[in-house]
Amino acid sequence: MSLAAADFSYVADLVRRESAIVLSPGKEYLVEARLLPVARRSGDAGVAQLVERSRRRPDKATTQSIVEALTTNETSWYRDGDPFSQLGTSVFPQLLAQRSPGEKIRVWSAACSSGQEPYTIGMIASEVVPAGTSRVAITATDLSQEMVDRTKAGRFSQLEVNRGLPAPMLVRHFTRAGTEWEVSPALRSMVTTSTLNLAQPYPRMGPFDVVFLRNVLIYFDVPTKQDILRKVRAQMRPDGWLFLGAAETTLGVDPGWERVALGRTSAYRPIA
Amino acid sequence: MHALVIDDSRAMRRIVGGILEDLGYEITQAGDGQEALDKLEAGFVPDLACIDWNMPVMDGLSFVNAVRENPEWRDVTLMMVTTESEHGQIVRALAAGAHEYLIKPFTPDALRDKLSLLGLVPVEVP
Amino acid sequence: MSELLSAPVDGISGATAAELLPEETVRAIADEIWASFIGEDEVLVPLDGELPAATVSAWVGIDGPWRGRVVLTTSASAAEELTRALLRGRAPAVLDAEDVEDGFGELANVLGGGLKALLPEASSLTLPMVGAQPPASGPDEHLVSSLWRGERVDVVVCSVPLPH
Ligand SMILES: C[S@@+](CC[C@H](N)C(=O)[O-])C[C@H]1O[C@@H](n2cnc3c(N)ncnc32)[C@H](O)[C@@H]1O
Repeated sequence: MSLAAADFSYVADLVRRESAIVLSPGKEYLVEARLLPVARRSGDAGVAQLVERSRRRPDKATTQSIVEALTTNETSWYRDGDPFSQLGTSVFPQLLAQRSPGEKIRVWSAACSSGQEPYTIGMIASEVVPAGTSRVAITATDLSQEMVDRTKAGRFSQLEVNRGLPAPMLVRHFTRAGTEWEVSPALRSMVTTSTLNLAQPYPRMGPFDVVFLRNVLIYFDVPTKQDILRKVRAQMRPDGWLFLGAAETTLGVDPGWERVALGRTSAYRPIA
Repeated sequence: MHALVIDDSRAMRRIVGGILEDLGYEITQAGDGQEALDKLEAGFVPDLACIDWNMPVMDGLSFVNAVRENPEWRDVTLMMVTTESEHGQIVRALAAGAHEYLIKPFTPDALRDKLSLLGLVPVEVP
Repeated sequence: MSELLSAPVDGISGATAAELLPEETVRAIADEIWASFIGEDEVLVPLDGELPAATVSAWVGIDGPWRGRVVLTTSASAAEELTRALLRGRAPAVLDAEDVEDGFGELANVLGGGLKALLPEASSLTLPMVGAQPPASGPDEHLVSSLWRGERVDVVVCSVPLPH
């Protein structure tokens, strides 16, 4: 059973309006597969009925569950390795040399998913920054309330800790809590969470020394990417650092950045 | 790259060995710690050993201890691959000299993630 | 906790299997094993089916302040299918009895290990055994039944008063 074209475009419009995520034609199968569990949970007979109900009388909860079902939350610890090792070996040391001793170092994980990214940043800070757990403040935001709640809880399944978390870090920063693993209170205290839609206006945050905006720009069209990169820059210190995902770049999108090589990876720095 | 896969379950040796083979490793198998140690003593020094914990004859922790006693084998990267998943057990294995620790059950991606942490596979750039 | 008075309890040694490892815990661990080892979309449905006449069981013992056993039971054909799924594309065309024994035994081993880790005190695991008939279980036998691809898969957790 495949999704009617009108239903697909209704969902695609809704998702784009709410999250800026672009679902291009050809993704009907994805929409159908992701929305079926949502329909079941809300007692609709199928995806068509869910869409029909939402179209007739849109309500916030249904809209939110449709959008959340269509976002990809895949993430892992130390994702791609290099950006995080460079954070520890070049970025934090340079910031420590440039900032006065009492000054906080602020890091933003701008699409934090279930929390692996902000807590990876926290673990690295606690290794390389003296008194790192109090000196470094991490702001973790995501569109999805569910992801923000998970980040705040700081609890991860065995399968999640198996995905790229170095064993020495696991034993140092986590304890078992039933079938799950829980981050230490010290690490959790570094991370402040909140929902934030990158495609909408931002409150004043930061200013940030480092921003991780990884594996999220890929879902947006070029004007949205431009808008986001501009707004992110406005939240950064002039000598700050931006990390993007391995398949993302500012090149050809937004001229306000200088790309700098860091080992085998690269980061972006605002151009004054 | 050469990997020694040590597990008393041959299904598990096939699974771990198969994932490593796909990454270009050559595989040697052993059914317990003693069999593995015999291979090392006969002069076979792998780049990586994937080690189950609970095995007959010689368990994985004893194998790690034995490997760490001989300086000729210090370049062998040791990764536990086991269902033992208590915090204290992981601490024990790391203290004995294991470099990494993968808890069963795991997906192929999880094993690849561990190898890239160890610098034993090129990091994939999509 | 007045029940404690009636049971011969010192620490966890007198607790029942269901108290130590309740159904939702058993399901949580089994679900993780199915999702990673059997296949991403493979689910154990918490339902009772018919257990066929001829079954195969794999079990491991837990040794520590509490002694127990974890037994996995299903039909011979489901045990073979599970082994095939576990090996993904690496299963030989024909799985012999030894392959199935080994693969199914390893599933019980991973299940037992996952459950053992949740006990309040350090314990160890015995090596897996496979056979048509597991050893008789104690009075606190605690059964968690599921369906996998339409076949019943049982997990039994029980105390074992004597050495394994
Ligand atoms: C693939 S994950 C990336 C997580 C992490 N940054 C990483 O690299 O592993 C993408 C995340 O972006 C979030 N997201 C999608 N659209 C968003 C938007 N408009 N504003 C904020 N977050 C968004 C999703 O909820 C999801 O958690």
